[in-house]
Amino acid sequence: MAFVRGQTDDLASRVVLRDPPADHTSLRSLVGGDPRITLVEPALPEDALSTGALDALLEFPPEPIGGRKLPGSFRARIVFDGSKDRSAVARDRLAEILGRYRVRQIESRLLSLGLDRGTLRPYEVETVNASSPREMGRFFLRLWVPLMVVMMVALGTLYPAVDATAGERERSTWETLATLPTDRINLVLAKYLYVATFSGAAGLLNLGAVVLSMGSVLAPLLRGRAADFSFALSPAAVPVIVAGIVLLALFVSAGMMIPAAFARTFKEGQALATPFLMAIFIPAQMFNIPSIEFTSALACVPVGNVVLMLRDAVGDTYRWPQIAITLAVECACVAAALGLAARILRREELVSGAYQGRFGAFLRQRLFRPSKDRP
Amino acid sequence: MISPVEVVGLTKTFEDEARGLVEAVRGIDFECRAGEVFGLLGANGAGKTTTLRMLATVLRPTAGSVRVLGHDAVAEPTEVRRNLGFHSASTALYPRLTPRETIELFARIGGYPPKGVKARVDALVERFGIGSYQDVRVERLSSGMKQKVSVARTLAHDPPLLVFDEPTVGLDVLNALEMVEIVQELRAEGKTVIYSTHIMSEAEKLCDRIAILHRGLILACDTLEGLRRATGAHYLEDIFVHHVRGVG
Repeated sequence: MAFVRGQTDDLASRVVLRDPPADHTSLRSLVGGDPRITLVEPALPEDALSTGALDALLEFPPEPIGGRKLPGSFRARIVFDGSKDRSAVARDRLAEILGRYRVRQIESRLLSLGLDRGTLRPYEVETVNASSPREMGRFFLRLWVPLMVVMMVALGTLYPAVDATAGERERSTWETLATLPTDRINLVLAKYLYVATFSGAAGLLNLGAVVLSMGSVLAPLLRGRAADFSFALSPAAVPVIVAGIVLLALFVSAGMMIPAAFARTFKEGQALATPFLMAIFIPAQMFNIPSIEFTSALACVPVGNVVLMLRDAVGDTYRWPQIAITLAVECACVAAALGLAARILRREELVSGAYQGRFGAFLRQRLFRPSKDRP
Repeated sequence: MISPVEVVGLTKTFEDEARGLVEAVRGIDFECRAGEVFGLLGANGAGKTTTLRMLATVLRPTAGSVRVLGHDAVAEPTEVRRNLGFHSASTALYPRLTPRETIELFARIGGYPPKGVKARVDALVERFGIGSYQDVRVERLSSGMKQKVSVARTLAHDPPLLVFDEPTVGLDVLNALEMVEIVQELRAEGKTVIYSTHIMSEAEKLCDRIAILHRGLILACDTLEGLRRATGAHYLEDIFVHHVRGVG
């Protein structure tokens, strides 16, 4: 949204000024003289507003303020289309101009009463941003890096995971691989490492891409303030971020290979792996809310804990107990997911494509049932 | 002398959601002799592929045993696989690899001596006449070309036992004939071949001995002449029908 707003900021707002009050002639020149405003005169302003040809209509209804007519006062109404960003920008600009005009009016009235401007402004407020350019840059990186990295790790896993499972079955190459002179666990491990390598590479390369390109991407929005931002990671953050990405890649790879193993075609594999993809995306987005603190309890939540760890590391903050919990939880998740994946992928029904049922039914009927019941 | 393949009481039962327990193979016995082409002849669903998959250690037998060159398929699966080349019903190739890369890959992971891999790949490329398209991606090849690459891939690690599961399915007459000739050449080289098919003419032409498989049981197993003598029929098709109708 900020990016769209940034684009509309460069466009002049097309405004109709309808029947300004006769005793406020300077208002037209104030509005029309603003470089961000272009006064236009379409035949049917309301229609033009709904079609997007007009951004706002500034009119002055005759009804008095508070039920009674005050001398020298008027009512202004800004009509805009809230569903259009450009129109909302025009509303803000007009409101700001009218605000300035109001101050000017009050000041002139005060002067006519023999009072000075200080009566209106007993004090002024000044805000100073004490952040360094590096801190400002990290603020943006904290917003983007964790979410982008987690999403790219998950997306980078999808194709290899489906290719290594459903893809092998669709090509009938899984059966061929199963006849190679090696233990089947080696095949499963080889596939897993292939998927995890792509997954981790997707995360690390996207991290690099985000860090390197953030300045260029935000430059149009920052305009003259680009020099106030420095998008560089602290060297101390790199090992923490890499550890997070690697563990996440190992977990996501094992997890995504499990549902994909039940598919007979690549397309089916994509469909089966999508819920797992969503199960990664949703906590990633929820935990990326800036107000969420990286607590020990949240460090126990898989995926979300990595988001928080990455966010802290990008901001050069290191809560070591939480980092330790995160790494331990992710290692446990990797072990659990890999164990389940290995157990499933070694099953001959899946290798041969003989199994016709669903994932849940498979776990219930085949995997967690005593072997004496099985044929 | 150890038989290349010894199958005793081999049984495979599948659990099917709709049909319950399905006995795909029901206690079959057979033995292959060194250097012969042993045919598994049967209609679709007879249990040929299941038998071959157990032989190739893709599936684990429910009961019975398979021994390949003295190695038990359950206890020593890696040794069994080392001695066996499995050619499945589909070409089972990686579409993004070239024929050369495919053969080299399977030679390496099949355990062929690393120093001899290049020479082995060259020899197979030459032998199967795939030199003109050895560097073209498999996905761009015709069915006949893919079949040749697939056979070369099966032979890449030079196994003594070869298992072909309906290799001529989907091939035109000329390519199917070429496939049959390849198997004949392999026999001439001393390889033991197990050849599954439902095409009678192929079995007649190729197989030294034929096992007629029907509903998971071997109904007869002999040379073509032996089968003729036992049934009084001349053509394999009639022999097959004689046995199958006898079971009902």
